[in-house]
Amino acid sequence: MAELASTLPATPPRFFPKSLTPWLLSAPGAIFFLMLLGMPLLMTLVLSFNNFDYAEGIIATFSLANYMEVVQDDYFHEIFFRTYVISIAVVVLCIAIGVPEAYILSRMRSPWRSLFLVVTLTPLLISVVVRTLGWVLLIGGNGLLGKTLEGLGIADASAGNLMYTHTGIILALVHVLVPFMVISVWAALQKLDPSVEHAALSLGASHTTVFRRVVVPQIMPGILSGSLIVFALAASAFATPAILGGRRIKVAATAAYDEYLNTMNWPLGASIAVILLIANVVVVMSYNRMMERRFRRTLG
Amino acid sequence: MSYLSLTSLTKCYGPTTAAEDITLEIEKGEFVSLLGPSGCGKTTTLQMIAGFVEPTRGRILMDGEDITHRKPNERGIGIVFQSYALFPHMTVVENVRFGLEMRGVPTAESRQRVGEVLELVHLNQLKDRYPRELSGGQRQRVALARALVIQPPLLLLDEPLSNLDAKLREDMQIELRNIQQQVGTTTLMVTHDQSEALSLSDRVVVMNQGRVVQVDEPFNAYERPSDAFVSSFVGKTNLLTGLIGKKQGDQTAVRLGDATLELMLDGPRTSNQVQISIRPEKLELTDCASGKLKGRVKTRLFLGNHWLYQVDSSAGELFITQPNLGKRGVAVGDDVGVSWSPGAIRLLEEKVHG
Amino acid sequence: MQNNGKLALCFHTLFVIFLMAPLVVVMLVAFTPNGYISYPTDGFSLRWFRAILENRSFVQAFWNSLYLGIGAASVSAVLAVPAALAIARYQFRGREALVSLFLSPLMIPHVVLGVAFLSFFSRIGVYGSFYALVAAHVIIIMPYTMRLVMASVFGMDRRVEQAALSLGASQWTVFRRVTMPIILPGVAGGWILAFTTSFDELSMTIFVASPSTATLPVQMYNHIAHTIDPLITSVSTVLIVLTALLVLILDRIYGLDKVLIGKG
Repeated sequence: MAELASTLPATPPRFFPKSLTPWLLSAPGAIFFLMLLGMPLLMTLVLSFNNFDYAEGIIATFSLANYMEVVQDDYFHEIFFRTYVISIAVVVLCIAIGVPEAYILSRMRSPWRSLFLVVTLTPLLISVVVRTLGWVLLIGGNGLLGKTLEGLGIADASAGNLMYTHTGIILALVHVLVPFMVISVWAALQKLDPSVEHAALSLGASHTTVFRRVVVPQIMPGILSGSLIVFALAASAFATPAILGGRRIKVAATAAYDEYLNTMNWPLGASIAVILLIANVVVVMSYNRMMERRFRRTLG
Repeated sequence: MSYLSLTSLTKCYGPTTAAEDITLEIEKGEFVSLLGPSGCGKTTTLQMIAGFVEPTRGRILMDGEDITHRKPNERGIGIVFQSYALFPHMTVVENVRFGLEMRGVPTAESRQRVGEVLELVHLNQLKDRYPRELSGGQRQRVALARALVIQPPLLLLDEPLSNLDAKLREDMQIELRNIQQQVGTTTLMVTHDQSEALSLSDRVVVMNQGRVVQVDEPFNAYERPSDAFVSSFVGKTNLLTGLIGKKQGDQTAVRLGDATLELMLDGPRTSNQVQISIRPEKLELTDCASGKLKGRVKTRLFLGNHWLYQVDSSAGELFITQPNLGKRGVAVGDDVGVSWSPGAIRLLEEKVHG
Repeated sequence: MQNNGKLALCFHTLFVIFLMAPLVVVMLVAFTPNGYISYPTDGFSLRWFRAILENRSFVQAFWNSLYLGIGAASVSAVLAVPAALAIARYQFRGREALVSLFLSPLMIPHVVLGVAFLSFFSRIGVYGSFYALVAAHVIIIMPYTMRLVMASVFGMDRRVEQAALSLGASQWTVFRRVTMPIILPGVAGGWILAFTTSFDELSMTIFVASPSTATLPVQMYNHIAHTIDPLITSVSTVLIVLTALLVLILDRIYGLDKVLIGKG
C-alpha cells in the first residue's frame, strides 16, 4: 500500500515516440488484470444491489436493501466498530513496539544487525495460520501464558486464557503485523544521513533529544506508511480473528465469510465486502493526500 | 601553551591502524588543515576531536582541559559536515537555532544571534526555506551558520567544499577565509584538495597512511616538501633520481641524465642515489643548445593560461608548464633544451623505511 | 556510538522473545509422543511427523500449494517483465494508470477478492478448478513481482543496452543477451517472494478452493477449526523449517531486507 504512495521515477526519455511497442508489451498483463480483477469486482458490486431470499436464492434487482441493513442493524454496527477499534489498537501497539525496535536494529553492529533483521522479517514469510496456531497454544485454555502466570504466582491459570477475547486477537495481530512496521521504519532510517545525528550531538543535544527532535520527524513518513499497511491489513484480517475469535468475536472479514459460506446470503456478504473495500481505499487515498501535502517541502 | 593539543592520538580498528601517533599543537585563532589522500587518517582524527570516535591511545587537550573522553554533546565544538547534515525537517532558522535551544539561550538573545549569523553568511532572505529548497552553496552556508552561532571554541570543517562545483568552490574559499578571520574561531579543516588547503590555512598538516608527514605553512609545504609523498601530493612535481658523484668542498656533483649538478648534500648518505623534485612551472624550455638537459617534446596540451608539455629527456620524462604568452611555442617532435634556475631544485630526504 | 544502551537491549530481547515464542511453542509441541497437545512435553517422538505422510489430505494439499505457487509465480513473472519494460522504457498515455492497476491488489482486502472470485468463477463455471486458482493467485501476487522487476529495470544502466545496440545487436538480442541477464536477479527475487505469498495465502483462497484443490493453509485452517491436535503442529513445524531455509537462501543471494523492502 505504501508502494502506491511512491511516485514513479522521472519520466524516461522518449525512445520511440508514438510507438505501439509499450502497448504490446503491457497488453497481456493489462488484459489479464482487467478481465480477472475488473470483472469479479464489478460483479460483486452488482451483486451487492441484489436481493436474497432463503427460498428463492439471489434475486436480480437493484436495491439498497443490503446497505440499509448493514447501516441500520446494530449487529453490523458492532462488527464494523469492533473491526476498526481492533485495527487502531494494533496500529498503536505496532508503533510503540516497531519504531523503537527498528531504531535499535539500525544502531546495531554489523553481524548482529543483519541477523536480527532476518529474525524480524522471517515471520512475514511464515503462514499466518501457523503463527496464529502458536498463539492458540500460548493463550488458549491450559496454554503456556496461563501456566507461566500461575507458576510465577501472579494470577491463576484462567487469567492466561485469552481465547475469544479482544486482547488475544490484538496480541496475535500485533505479532503478525509488527514486522511491516519494522520494515517500513527501517527503510526510512536507511535514508538518514548519520552525520545529521552527529550534527545534533555536536550542537549539544542529548541522545533522547536527538531521537525525539531529529530522528522521529525524519522517519515520520516511514511510521505513517507502516501504520497504513498495518491498519489496512488489520482491518481486513481473516485468519487470526477467525481462529482466535471464532463465531463469538466477529470482524468484518469473518462476517463476510459467514454470509457467503454459511448463511449463503451472497448479496449481503457482497455489500459488506464493498463497504470494507471502500473504507480501505478511502484510508489509503487520504493517506496519500496527506503525505503529499505534509512532506513535499521537507522530505520530498 | 597552545589552544588545542593532540598528543600521540591513535585509533586502531582491529589490526588496522587508522591514525597513528598524531601529535599536533594548534594556536588560538589559527586555521589549520589536515591534508591527505582518502584513507590517510585525517577524518578519523577529526572524528576523535569531535568525540564520535573513541581514541585507542593518546590525549586531546582543548584550552588546557582534557576532553579525550568527553561526550560529543558536551564538547561544544562546532562542526560543518561534508554532507552538511542539515536537519531536513527544519527551516534554515530552525536549523541555526537548534544549538542555541540546546543551550537554553533566551528567545530574544537567540533571535538576535541567529539574525547576526545569517547576516554573516548572507542568508537572511532565505531563512524560512527548507534545506532541500536551497542550492549546494546555500546549504553550505547554513551548515556554517549553524556551527558558528553557538560561538564554539573550535570549528571543525570536514571536506566543507567537496560537494560544490569548481566555480562555487573558489568563491566559497574566499568567503570561508573572510568569515573565519572576521570571527576569529580556531579552525581545523580536513580536506583532500591541496589547493583548498594551501589557500585557506595558516598551517597545513600533510598526512599519509595514518601518520603526520609534514606540518608547515602552505608556502613552505609547497616549496620545501619534506619527502617524495608531500612533493607529489602538494602540487604537481617531477621526481627524478640523481647519481651522487665526487665531493668538492661542500658541493657534491650529482649526475642527472646528461647534466651534472653541483649540490649541497647534508648528512651521510646510505646509497649513491638522491631523489630530486622539480616543479613543472620552474622548468623552462629553451633551444636545443642552451638547455641543461636535452629532450624531445612528446605531448603538448593547451590549458588556456598555460601550456603543459611532456618531454622525453635523458633524465627521464618531464612535465613542464609554460605560461601562455600569446605565441604557439614548440611543437610535438621538436628537440628542445630544458633549463632551470639554481633554486628550483629540491633534494628530498631519504625515505625512512618502516 | 553504534552501541545500544542496556535498556534498548532489554527491549530488543523482549521483542525477539515475543516474535519467536509462538513459533517455538509450535515446534516444541510437534515432538510430543502423546496423542494430545501437551507441553512442556514429557518425551520426544517423531510420530506426528510420520503421521503427516499417512494423512492423504495434507499431502495432497501440500502438492496443490506447491504447484499453485510455482504456476502463479511463473505466470506473474511472464506478465510482469514486458509490462515493467514498457513502463520503464517508454512514455505513453496511461503509464501511471498501468502501474496503479498492477499494484492495486495491495489495496484490496483479500477477503473482498475472495468473494469477488467466488461469484465470478461460479458464474463462468470454473469454480474450484486448479487453473482458476492459479489465475486468482496471479492477481494477488502480481504487485510483489512487479515491484521487484520494476526496481531492477529502473535500476539498470540504459547505456549498457545502447552500447550493445551500437555494437550491432538487434533489439531481441539485446533483450536476450544484455537486459535479461541484468534484471534476472530482480525477476528471480520477485518470483520467490510471489511464490511464498501464494503458498501461504489463506483469506482469498478459502473462498475459491474446492476440497480437491484445497491448499495447505486452507487444509490447515479447516483442521484447526475442527480440532487442534499435535498433527497440525508437526505440519506447521515442517512449514516453519522450509520457510526458514528459503529465507536463508533468499538472504544469502539478495539480502532479505532488499527483497522485502523492494529496493533490489
